[in-house]
Amino acid sequence: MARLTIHQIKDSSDLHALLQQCAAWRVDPFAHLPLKNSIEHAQKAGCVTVIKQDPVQDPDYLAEYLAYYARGFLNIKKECIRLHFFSAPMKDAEDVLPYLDRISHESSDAYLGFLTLRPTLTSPVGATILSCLPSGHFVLCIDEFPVHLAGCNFSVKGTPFMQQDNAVGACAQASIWMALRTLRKKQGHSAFDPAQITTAATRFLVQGRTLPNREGLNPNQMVEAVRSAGYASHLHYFRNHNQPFSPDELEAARLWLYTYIESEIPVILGLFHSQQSSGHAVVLVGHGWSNAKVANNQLTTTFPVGTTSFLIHQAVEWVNGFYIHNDNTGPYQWLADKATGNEFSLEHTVFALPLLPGDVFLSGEEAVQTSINLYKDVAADFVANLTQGSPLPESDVVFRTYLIERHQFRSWALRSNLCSTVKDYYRLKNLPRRVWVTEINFKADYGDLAKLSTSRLGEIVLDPTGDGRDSPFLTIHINSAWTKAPDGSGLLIDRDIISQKIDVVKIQSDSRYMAYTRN
Amino acid sequence: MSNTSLGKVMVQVLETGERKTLDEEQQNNFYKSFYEHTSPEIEKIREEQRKRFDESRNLTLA
Repeated sequence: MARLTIHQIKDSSDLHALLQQCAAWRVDPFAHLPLKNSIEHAQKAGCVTVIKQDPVQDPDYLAEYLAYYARGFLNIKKECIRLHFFSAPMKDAEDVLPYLDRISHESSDAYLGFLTLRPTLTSPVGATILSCLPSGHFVLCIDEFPVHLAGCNFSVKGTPFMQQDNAVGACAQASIWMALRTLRKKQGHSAFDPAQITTAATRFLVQGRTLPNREGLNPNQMVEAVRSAGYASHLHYFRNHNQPFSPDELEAARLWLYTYIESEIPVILGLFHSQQSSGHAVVLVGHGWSNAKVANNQLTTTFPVGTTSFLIHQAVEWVNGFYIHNDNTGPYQWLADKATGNEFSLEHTVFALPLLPGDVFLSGEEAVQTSINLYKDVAADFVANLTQGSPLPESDVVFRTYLIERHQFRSWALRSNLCSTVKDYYRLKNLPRRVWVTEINFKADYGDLAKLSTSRLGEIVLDPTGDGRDSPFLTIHINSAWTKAPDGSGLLIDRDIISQKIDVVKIQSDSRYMAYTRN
Repeated sequence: MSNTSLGKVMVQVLETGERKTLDEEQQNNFYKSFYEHTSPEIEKIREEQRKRFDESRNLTLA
C-alpha cells in the first residue's frame, strides 16, 4: 500500500469521506469539535488537495504510547495518519509524486499545514500545524516549521495545536505543549512531549493519579512544567475565582494579555465558570483589531500638565477580542470579551501564565506602569520649563508596549522611516538581548492600519533585566510632532549603561515615523 | 510627579542645539523622584498577586 496518496477536495463532504476512510470511528468524525474545526480551518485557508500520509510515527504520540498505551493488555496501534493540506489543485489523474514535485517548484506557498490523526479515537487530533488565515487578525505567537514530503521541502507558518489525549494529559498539558512548541525554535528551550510535561508538572506536587492523568493539573503544577522547560514561573491571577470581573478589572486584564501577545509570547489562560474550582486551560495566540476604539477609556491615563490635561490611551483599546488555541474546540478560535450562552469568554479568565523568558525580570505589567510614569515625568517637567508662548507638546497619545529581541528592534530601525540620526543611534547603542519598547503614537486615526507608517511620535526603551521601581530606561525618544519645535527637532534622552549618566540630545528633522510592524 | 531638572535641560537643548549631560544632582533628583512615586504603584501590583495566590490554592484544570 502506498505511504502517500493524493485526494481532490471539492467541498467538505470530500474531507468528511476521507476522514471516514482513516479509521473505524465510534461516532461521526465531525462530532469531534477539534477535528471538525481544524478541517474547516484548512478549508477556509483554501484547501483543494489533501495528501494522506499513512503510516506516520509521530514523536509526540509515540511518547504518549510508550508512557501509557504500550502498557495496556489490548493491542493499540502506535502509528498515526497525517493529512497534508494544499491550496493548489491537482491536475486530472495526477499522481502524488508528480504533484509534489510540481507544487514544490511552482508554488511552495500552497502548503497549508498538516493534521495528525492519532489511533486513539476518543481524542483523534495529535500534533497539528495549520497556517493562519491570511487577513483580519493578528495571530502573533507563530513560527515557521519545515515539512518534508517525499524529498520535497515545504514549510508552514502557524501555531502548533493538539487535542488533549485524556490519558497521558488533560487540557493543561495540551496547552503547555502548544505554547512550548511555538517558542522552541525562537527561544531554544525544551519543548517537552505530553508525557514529559506530566512528569515535569508532577515532579514535586502530586494530586490524584499521574497516569492516566484525567484530573488535570493545578496552576502550581503547570508553573513547574513551564519553569523546568526554561521559562519564568510568572503566574498572574486577575481576580478571585469566586468573584466576577468588574469592568475595570476586565480592561486591565485585556491590557495585561495584549502586552504579552504583542511580544509574541503565548499565554496559557485558566478559565473557570462561576463558582467552579475545576476549569479549562487554553492558549492565547493573537488578537483582533477594530478601526474604531472599542474600550470606554478605563485604561486611559489622564494627568495634569500645567493648566491642561494630557492623555495616554493604550493600543488594546482598539482590540475587539482575542484568538486562542482551545484543545476542546480547535485552533485559532475566537475568544470574545463577554460570554454568550455557555461558551468560555475572556471574563471567565482567572489566571494567566505567559511563557516569559527566564532572564526577563521586568514583567509586562511593570513595564507598562514604568513607561506611563516616565512619560508623565518627562511631559510635565518639559512643559513646566517651556518659555511662555511656546506651543505645548502633543497631549493625546497611544501607548503600545512589547518585548522585542534586540536584533528585531534594530532590524525595524533599519527598515523604518525613522530619521537617520536616531536610526543609527539604535543600530549602534549597546542593548541587552531583549528590550521592552513602549511606542508613543499619535492618537488621531490610530485604529486605521493604513496610517501606521506615520503614527509614531517616539518610544521609551526599557531594560528587561531592571526593576520597574528604579527607572530602568535606556532611551526616551520624542520627535518634533510631539515637541512641536518650530524647527522640526525632536529630543533623545540617552542613559549610559555603565555610568548611568543621562544625556539629552537635539535631533534635527525628526518627524513622524512608522509603528513596529512584522515582515 | 517629578519636579526635576530634566525638563529644564530638555528645553535648553531644544533651544541651543547643544548636547547636555545631567549633572550628578540633577540625575539623582530624577531617579529619586521617579522611585518615590513609582515604587508604591509597583508594590501594589506585587501585593495584589500575593493575595491572589493565597485565594487560589484549590483550582485545577482538566
